[in-house]
Amino acid sequence: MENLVIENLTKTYNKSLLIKDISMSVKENEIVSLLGVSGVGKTTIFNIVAGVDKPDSGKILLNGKDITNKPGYISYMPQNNLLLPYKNIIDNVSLPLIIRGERKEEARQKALPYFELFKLASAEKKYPHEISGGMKQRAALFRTYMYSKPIMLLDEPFCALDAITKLSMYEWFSKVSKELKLSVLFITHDIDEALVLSDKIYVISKFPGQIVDVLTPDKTKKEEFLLSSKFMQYKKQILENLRIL
Amino acid sequence: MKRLSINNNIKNKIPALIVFMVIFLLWQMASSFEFIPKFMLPSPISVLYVFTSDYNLLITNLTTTLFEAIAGLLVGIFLGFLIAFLMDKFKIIYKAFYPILIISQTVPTIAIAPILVLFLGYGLFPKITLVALCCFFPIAISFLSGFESPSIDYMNLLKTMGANKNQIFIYIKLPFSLKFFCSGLKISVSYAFVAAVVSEWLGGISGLGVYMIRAKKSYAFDKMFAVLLLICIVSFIFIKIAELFEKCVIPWERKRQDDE
Repeated sequence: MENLVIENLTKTYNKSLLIKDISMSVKENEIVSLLGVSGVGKTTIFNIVAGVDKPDSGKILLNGKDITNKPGYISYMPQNNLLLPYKNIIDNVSLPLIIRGERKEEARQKALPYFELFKLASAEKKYPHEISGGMKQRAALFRTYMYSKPIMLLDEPFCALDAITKLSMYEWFSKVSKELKLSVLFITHDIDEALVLSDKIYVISKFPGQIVDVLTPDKTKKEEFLLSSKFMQYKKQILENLRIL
Repeated sequence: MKRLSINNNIKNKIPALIVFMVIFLLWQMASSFEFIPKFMLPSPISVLYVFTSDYNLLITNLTTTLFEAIAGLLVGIFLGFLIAFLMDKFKIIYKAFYPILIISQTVPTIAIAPILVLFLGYGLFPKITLVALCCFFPIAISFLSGFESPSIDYMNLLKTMGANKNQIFIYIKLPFSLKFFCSGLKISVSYAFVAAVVSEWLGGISGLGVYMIRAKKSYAFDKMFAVLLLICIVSFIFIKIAELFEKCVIPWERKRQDDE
């Protein structure tokens, strides 16, 4: 079943065409990435999908229901984590529940069981500035999970991290997404990241942003995938697509 | 580490302390050797002596002035917050009142004081009003810029959670504005006490301003200097309290600065 369908999104910005005819879909329990260089309007697409920005034309459908320009239907993790500096981690992650009208204590109780899984145990009472970059990203992911909506949108979730932390985050994220049965659409400009994490990759070109390729990497031997020749072939294909246009 | 930082702290203050003592000494000498006639420049020791001889009178008058300053400050904070809140919530109010708000600041508050006395009499009311007028502006402006400070990304984040405007105000705008409010408060508290004294010059029954006028009329320079010193001390304490308040209200800001 196709959970999220994005149909023919077009948007102009300052009279120039920013994105043109973007169509994508995310199925249940699928991890899909949108890959492209910076400044092609990836975040604009996400803002439209999240309902906080309006497309000039096109539609967003969630299980068949039109949610274009209606925020509150999709879990969203913005770039730069945006944890609230004045709230500790547990209150940060339970914010989506509180906004929905749950009582503070109830919301905390609901968040508590997941601290172990998000590798934030013992950081419940800490403030965002007291924890490491990796922990901040995991806390932001945790908060996104607490929206408890069918689809998660992640805007460059790992881009602020160093290369080594990134690798361990990939491993952890793959495990968690299986365990929690997440359906994810994420933005990245990192080809390796897209290949390692996603079941399907949409490659987007520049000026205007257009989908130029859709890949479904075959990852039968998962452990060796990152070092396999297949991986290099995919990478070459993506690079060519990005350069040609 | 802590011990070291305390030592550094003391070391940092030594130059200021020395200057302070030199001024004190020069003042004492100027007065003792009568470079300046004693009745015009009383010696620091005789000024300090006023604090014991006139203790009860000073305390009663100080209480009145303190009450006016604090009451005026609270009213100013309340009004400042209210107008900033309304201006943030309704764009039409912003457009209508912002120019007036700025222009109103070109009117010197000291010049309004006599008018206030004419309107409101010699009681506490005109004094509290003047203090409130002085304190109101920095608070309103600081809240206003505070409400505008969080980036659009934070607002969008809350919108994706399904938040309404009131929730965005409570969870984003208000906490982000606290830092700005604290800066405004530090300005306001330094105005508050002085404004109260000035308003008392124009007439009244009790208060440090009244005491000052009486001392002036009887050429009691030592008493005038004592009041001056007292005003400095109280204003200083006000600012310190505002700083302490800042540390309590926005502890995360201090921690963030320490980390950086």
